[in-house]
Amino acid sequence: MTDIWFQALGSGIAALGDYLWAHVLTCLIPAFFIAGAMVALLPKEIITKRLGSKVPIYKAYPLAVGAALFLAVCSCTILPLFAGIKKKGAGIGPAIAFLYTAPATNVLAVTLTGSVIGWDFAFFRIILSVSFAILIGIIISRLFREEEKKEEKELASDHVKVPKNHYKKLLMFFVTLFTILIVGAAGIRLDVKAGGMLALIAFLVLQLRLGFTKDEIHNWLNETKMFFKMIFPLLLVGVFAAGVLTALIPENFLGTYVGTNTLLPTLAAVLFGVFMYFPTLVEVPMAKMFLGLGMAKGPLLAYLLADPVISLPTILVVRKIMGGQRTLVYVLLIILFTTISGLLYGSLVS
Amino acid sequence: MKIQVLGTGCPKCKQLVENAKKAFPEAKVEKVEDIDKILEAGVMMTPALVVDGKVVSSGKVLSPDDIKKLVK
Repeated sequence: MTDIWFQALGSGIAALGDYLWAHVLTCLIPAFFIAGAMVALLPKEIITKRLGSKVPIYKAYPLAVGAALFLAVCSCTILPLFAGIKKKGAGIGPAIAFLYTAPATNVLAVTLTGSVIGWDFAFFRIILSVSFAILIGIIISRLFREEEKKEEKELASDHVKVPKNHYKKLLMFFVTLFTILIVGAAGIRLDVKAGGMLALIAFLVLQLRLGFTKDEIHNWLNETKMFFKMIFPLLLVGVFAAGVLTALIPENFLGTYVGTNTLLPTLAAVLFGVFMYFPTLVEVPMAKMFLGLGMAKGPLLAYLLADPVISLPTILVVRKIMGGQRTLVYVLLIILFTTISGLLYGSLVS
Repeated sequence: MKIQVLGTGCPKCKQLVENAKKAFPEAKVEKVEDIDKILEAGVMMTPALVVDGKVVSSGKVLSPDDIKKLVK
């Protein structure tokens, strides 16, 4: 009996060791720093300014989705921003596209999904989230056209002034950070990689010295630390637990319930994701654990798509902002789209 | 001095309330969860920190030291 436990423990440690070597240093750490920088340094007020009422619709959707890709926040943090976009002018459609995309997919979410679960998952996550965001936005704004015209309230939100050269230095800073991420994840010779990383980091430090205030750097490191503290322990637990459990229960536990790529397991995974609340990005270690417990790939993708987008607390606040009917349609559309994509993906891989 | 923390109730907002209490143990820290009131303050990202009716920070979990610096 003790043999099995030792074996399980060994398998957990092995999974953890493999994982740490393969991903953490080169891929995840740069991603955490990028997410921290996005939270600390990007001026969010610019989003509502760019999405004013004069923006034509074909520009508003890409802008809303594009802006959301650079935010790593949970579904409740951006609620005021969502309300702001809706009330200030761009309207309910782009606002919903933004509400959907901001928590669903961003640089850190995609990197995490890719390195923890698989790059095919990461690819589908970003493509499907962006398309669903725009689709759902368009459907809701078409369905409720009349209602939209009534709301034209201004929002006072200009307490932050952004100096002009701020964007140039931010652009260079983020390009450097992304290059570090790409070099870190690339499959190139180790000495080339190390040299490249050192040069890039030196360049980054130089930029920090010349262009950024102490407060900005402090905020950046602080936000990075917050992300790290929140997600990293869970990630370790998730990977370790998955390793232990696969050794202990060969014919998996969750497998009996959600081990097939059929409608009921997929729907169950989606509903769990829609109503439960987890802080942003925690869905990735959760999904890793589900995978280890034997969840089939179709339901897993469906869960991964649905979970970050919305939760019960968010639904209640969204209802206050855009009314019960539209919220109901929004939630139903999320359930419908994510379930269908889970089923399609499931039939594709099996 | 009146300190308010605006946020709809995610873990970050609760953390900010804790930090504000740590920074000023004797001050009254109020938590505002009503989305209409948050919008009226002109806040774009929660959690936001409001001191005597003025928004001093938004979208960030400030440490107790950060809060003390901002209030000075």
